[in-house]
Amino acid sequence: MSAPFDPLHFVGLGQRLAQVATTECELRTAVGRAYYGLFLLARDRRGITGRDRVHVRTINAVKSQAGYWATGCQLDDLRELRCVADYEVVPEKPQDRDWQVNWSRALNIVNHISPKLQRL
Amino acid sequence: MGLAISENTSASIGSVEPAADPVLSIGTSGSIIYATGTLIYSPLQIDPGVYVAEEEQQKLRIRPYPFWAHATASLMGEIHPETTYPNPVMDPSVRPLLTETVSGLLRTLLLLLEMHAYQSGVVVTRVEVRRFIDPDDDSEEIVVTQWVVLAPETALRYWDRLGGKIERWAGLLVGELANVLFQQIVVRVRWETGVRPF
Repeated sequence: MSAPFDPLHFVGLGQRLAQVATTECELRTAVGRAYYGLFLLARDRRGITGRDRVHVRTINAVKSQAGYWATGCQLDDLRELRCVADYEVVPEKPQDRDWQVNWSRALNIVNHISPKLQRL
Repeated sequence: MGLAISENTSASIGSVEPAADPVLSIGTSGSIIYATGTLIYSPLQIDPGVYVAEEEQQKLRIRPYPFWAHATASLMGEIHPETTYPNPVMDPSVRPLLTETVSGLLRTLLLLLEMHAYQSGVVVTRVEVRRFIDPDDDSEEIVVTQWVVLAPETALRYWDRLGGKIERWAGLLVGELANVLFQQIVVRVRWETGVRPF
């Protein structure tokens, strides 16, 4: 049996993709990979199972952990960016329409919360 | 009437032991107190109708820091009369979610955000309350966002410290209040650099 997949590989893939990105498509994809990497990490660390409302249940579980309210909110921020990336061809909010800015924001959050989520 | 914190909610409650924070402490009912012992806000005293923003609330307006900030600044010898804080902007999408419980929580939360900014000496350019619906599972939540003029890493640490204050407050909430706070409301901090709103 092979070793379980490490969700942080998704984060690394997103970062590598963004480093060479020349298109909005690549940056949108990088945001999505970064979110899913940290989401899966948090989900598994908090023992969340099932698929029904699994994103919000995971984020709420992080927020409920002592000392992790802000971390949960920061992961939730990434979730919304990922939704914009995957669902909004023209982002509804004007401030979400610059994908260099969006990726920069995502990367700052990823770098900030990744060590904390690994300590969950 | 908009979201601005009303000054007539203050009342003396006598002696109060300040918490570790030099200004902010939180009373046993979830009320917010500052170190002189003045009760700033109790969620049980507020008419929820006050939270529904009027149309003019949709555009950014700047108002002075509230009375408590000026009072505190005076005590600390740090008067900054030019300092202002934006009125929260309420997106109409959030109105269906404004139950009495949610409204009370939001009002205290917005005051906590304002106090945290003031205590941290951080310039805030915008505060927004809106709804977010996840298109994957239709889950919805209320998003409270505070825009600050800080570098990204500084803003994230500022956000962490704000989270700590919110957790302290949440620990004092009774009944379903804490569940509502943890499950229906998130706080975001957005950073921007080089912006001087005044």
